[in-house]
Amino acid sequence: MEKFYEIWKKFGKNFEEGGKMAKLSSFYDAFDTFLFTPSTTSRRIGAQIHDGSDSKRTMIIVVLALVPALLFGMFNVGYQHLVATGQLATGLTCALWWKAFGFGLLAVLPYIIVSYVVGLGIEFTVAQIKHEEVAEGFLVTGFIIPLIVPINTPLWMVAVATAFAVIFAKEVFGGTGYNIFNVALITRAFLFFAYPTHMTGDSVFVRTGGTWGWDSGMSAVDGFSGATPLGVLATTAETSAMPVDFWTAFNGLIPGSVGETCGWAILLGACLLLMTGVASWKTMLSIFGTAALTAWLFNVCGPDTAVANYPWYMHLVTGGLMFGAVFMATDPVTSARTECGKWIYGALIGFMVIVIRVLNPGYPEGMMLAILLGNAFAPLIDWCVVHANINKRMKRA
Amino acid sequence: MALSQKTKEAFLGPLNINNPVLVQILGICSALAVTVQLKPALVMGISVTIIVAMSNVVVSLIRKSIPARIRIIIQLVVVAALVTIVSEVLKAFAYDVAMQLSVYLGLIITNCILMGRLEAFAMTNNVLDSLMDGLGNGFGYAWILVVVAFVRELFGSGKLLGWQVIPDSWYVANGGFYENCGMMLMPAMALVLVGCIIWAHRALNDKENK
Amino acid sequence: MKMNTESNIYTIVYATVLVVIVAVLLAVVNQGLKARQDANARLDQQKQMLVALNQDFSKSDPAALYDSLVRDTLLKDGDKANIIRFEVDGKTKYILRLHGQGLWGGIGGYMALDEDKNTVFGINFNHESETPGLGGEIVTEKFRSQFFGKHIKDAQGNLRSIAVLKAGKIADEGQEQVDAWAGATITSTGVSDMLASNINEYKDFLGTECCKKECCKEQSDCCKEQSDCCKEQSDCCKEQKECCKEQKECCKQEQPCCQQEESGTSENEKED
Repeated sequence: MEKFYEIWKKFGKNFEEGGKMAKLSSFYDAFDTFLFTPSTTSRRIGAQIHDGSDSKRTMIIVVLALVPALLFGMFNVGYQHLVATGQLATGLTCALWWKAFGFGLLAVLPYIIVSYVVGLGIEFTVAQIKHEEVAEGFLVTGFIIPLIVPINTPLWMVAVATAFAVIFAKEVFGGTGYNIFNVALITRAFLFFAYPTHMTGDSVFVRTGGTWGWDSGMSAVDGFSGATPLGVLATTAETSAMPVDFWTAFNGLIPGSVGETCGWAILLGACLLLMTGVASWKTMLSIFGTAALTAWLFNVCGPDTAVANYPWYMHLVTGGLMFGAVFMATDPVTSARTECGKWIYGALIGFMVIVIRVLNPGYPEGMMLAILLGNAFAPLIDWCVVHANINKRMKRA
Repeated sequence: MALSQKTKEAFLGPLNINNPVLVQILGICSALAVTVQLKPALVMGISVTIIVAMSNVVVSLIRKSIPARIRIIIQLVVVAALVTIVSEVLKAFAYDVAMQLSVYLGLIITNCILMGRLEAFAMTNNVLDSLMDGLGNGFGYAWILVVVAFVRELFGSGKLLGWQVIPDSWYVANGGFYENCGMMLMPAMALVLVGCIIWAHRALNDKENK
Repeated sequence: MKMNTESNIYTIVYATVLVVIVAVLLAVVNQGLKARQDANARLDQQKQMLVALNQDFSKSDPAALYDSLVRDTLLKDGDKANIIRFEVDGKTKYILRLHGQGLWGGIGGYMALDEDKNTVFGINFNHESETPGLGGEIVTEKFRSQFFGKHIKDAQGNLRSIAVLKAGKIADEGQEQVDAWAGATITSTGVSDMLASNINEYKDFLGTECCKKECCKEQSDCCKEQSDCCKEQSDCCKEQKECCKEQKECCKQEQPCCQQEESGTSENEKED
């Protein structure tokens, strides 16, 4: 390791001021800090607290926390494919298990590559132009994007949406740490509004055709519907419909965006985030609590529609609610920062997601819009909390 | 006839350095609303140009007789009368465009560019300069609209002036890969595009200033 | 002489004169162009109806084409309901105006029926603000053309409308169906509901023919079970007098019903 470190540092000389590749210094810097603890420390002025955990490490933890959801998502993509094409008629054998995972791996991998290549490409370019370090924010964003898009979205659309989100939701605001809205969600929102036919409906969440030629020529068996549970509810006339039972939904073997379906995989990630203190338990708890309460209120005294009658505990495990609450609403940049504000912020999101689901049949899955709305209000919430505190102390003084 | 430096400036300034949309950020509301397609954007641009130029001329003609206390109301009456006439003419000769522009045509009355030019320029300048200033501001507004509408119609509908530009066979529905970007049809995207133009405009002008 | 432009009297007189000038100017413009404007608004509606009648007016003058086809207006109820009779290639067609609710705003259209008041000859939809690419696609030929040749009544002559259903779903027996636009579930349901409710509104004109066939001839549900038909003088018998007139024995028991309705009958027939 030390040997490598020496070679690496020697190589780094090329990038210093006046060196051969000085223009690409941010490239070197990006990889340098990715691999090693930064050698520079802040100037010794005033009181400072030092910690080995810089934002790059924080991002890595989030990525690790996302891995279970990704792995399960890959399996589920393959699993839904097998269900749709009728290959599971004889039950899930070991061979089919591996086929499902392999199929899903091949299907999801291009999205990860596209998301990272486009997003990091823009990040690196901007860093060169502005002569800044490459910011690490996209590590997580690029990982989340493949997890929140339907598996049939054309790759070029993902590329366009990622470019749009990185430029207009992040770089124009000043880059990582300055964005108002969650960049991954802006990517999804762009796709949702720009290409609605590829983001909603029965056929976008399950891949019935092949992947790289594998299993192509298959078609969906008769009577198969690839609609998500909430999608079914939004359109059914039956007011007490229950498309799936609780444990199926919690285990995640249902159609949906790649990473959002499996409850326990997301909770596993949530544990890691909470143990390392990266995400706030207050935000998560507040979202789950308020969403459950709101859904329960609709159960008790809402309109007589399928979504309103949908049990509150089912609302928690279907759609993107869990994924959004754990990985996206807790984004430290775009969420509220005051401790009291986190409760209010979470409550706003939890309330809005159920209201959107129940009252607007055009948006059966409300989590994306609810979090973006929460993002928009976060600064205001913080401002109110801070000023309430100031007023309280003024009175005391 | 050689135009004086001031007259030239009155016409050329608003096209670039002192553009009403890019620099003064006026008239944004209608720029968002009518730029989904190129045709209404063109008509809107021309209508505003005509109305700014004519109201500038009218107000400049009567500027010395207008009582200062009610000058804003007088300006408003002049603009409202001209807008009503233009909208009546459009309804009679370009009905579908008038329907597309619908309420925004009437809203030209409240377009800040108009009142701004009348109050800031026509009230204190002679008729020729006012005419040039009106035309300049009108065109300055119109070219932004046309650029935004060009991008929005091309990528949002795959058409230009109603003609299909992107080949039909490219579309997913016909076995291709392409899909129109629905975002382009939404007002939010017009704002983003105007933002991009302002971005480019600033970047260019900053370089010149250095 | 220099006037004092700040005096109260000057201000008031100035404002008055200006307003009068502007008012006169606008009145002149409005009167001068009114005829053209009305003609344009009418032409727009006529074009929509021509589309519903499957007429190609790209090469000919739409107004002249419309005039050559239109016969008379059978029903006019403000902006909402109305029925116009046309003659296309020597055959009578009826156009019914439709109005309903989509996902984001109103939807509407014109439905052209054959002389039997049953077979759809053509249809045209319009909408205020449906999602482009999804609900907005109801105006396309691809969606419209599905309706051509469908029937709004079942074999017994009951009004059933046409269901707009997702691919794979089957309509109730006796009802014909077309495919919903993929991804535009709510708008498609809106079209379906619009057809059902509007056809029901036009039932006076379209005629529930249950009396003619079932009630009187076969004495089935209509007269026996749904006693409201003749007894309580509801729609069924009220509007379809032929039934009772021609098949007296059917309604013998309910004689009062039929006699009372005699007068209303003749009026209805005149309209038809």
